[in-house]
Amino acid sequence: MNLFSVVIAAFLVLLGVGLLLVIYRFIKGPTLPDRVTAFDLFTAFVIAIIALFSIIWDNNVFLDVAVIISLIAFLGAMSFAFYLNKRKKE
Amino acid sequence: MSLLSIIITLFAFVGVAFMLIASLGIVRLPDFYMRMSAITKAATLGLGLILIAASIYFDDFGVLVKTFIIITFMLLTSPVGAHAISRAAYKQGVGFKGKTIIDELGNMVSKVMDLEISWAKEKNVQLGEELVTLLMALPEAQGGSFKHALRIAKEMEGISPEVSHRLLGVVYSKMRLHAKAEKFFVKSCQESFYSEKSVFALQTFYTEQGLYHKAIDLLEKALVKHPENYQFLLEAAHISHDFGIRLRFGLECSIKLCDLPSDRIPSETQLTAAMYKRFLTQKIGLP
Repeated sequence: MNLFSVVIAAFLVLLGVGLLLVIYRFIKGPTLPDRVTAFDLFTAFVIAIIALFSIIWDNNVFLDVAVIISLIAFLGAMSFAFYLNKRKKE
Repeated sequence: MSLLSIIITLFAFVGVAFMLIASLGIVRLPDFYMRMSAITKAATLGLGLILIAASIYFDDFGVLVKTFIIITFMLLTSPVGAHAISRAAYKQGVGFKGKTIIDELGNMVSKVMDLEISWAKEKNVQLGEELVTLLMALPEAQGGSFKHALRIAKEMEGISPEVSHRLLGVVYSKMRLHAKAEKFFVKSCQESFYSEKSVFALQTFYTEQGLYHKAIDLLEKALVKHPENYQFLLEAAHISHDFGIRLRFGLECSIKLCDLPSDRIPSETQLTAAMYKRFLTQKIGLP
């Protein structure tokens, strides 16, 4: 294990900490829009983690997964916005 | 470590730092709208930098295409998604906290409600005008409606016909009923003896429609009634200069403007008038 992969692994740990913070907001978030945005950021974090993972494992097939997730994240956010628009006021 | 891996590490580091800042923002900021702004800006840039690091590492065309697809998608979709969610949240009534204080739509809605109450108590030209303008500007979901604006403008006919007809013209032009709008604007101009507001409302309507000849004819008529009004003169010279029609009339107007006593018109207007005069003289080809 050389220095480079150690540094990238350290970045992965940092991203994990950020992911925990996002999950905290996802659980606590007082309103539904808060949770939706937290989920949005969550998927961004997952994509970043996949990119760093593919560097560590030296395998670029993982990036295909990242493409699909970035597509689904947008659809998820838009459908939640649609649902929020339809829902009656709290 | 080679130079390449140092570059990759740098890119990845900056990206990770941005994403961490975004996650701090989503935990620490006090209300939903601030969190929204924090994550959408920081996360796109951070993710982009990390993906660039990956594409440098693999040094492969296929990977470059994949990362390019992800980055483009993020850049396209994250603002759209953020806007949709914030809009839905505002409609749901998610409140403000901390330093988020500006709520233009909410202010407008409450102002319209206040104006409606005072309009019901006392019919007043100023109140009515303000109310009609606001009702036209509001989105339909928030209670803005052209029909209501029309009704109020018609009610004003008893108090002040020229203002009422001008407002009716404005509402009809917003509803794209151009023939009706023109009829009311012309009525308003005649009733108010070509007052500035009526004439400029009609002139704006004509310019929006592209009827520049009609606009300049109107200004000519208005200038017969008010030969010394510098705003009419300036507007006439402006239209004649911009669209290249009725050049001689435009030149006359700009000469008149330059001859007006200088304490009656602002200095900027004098400068523009001199400019128009020079250009129009050149265009006509007079010595």
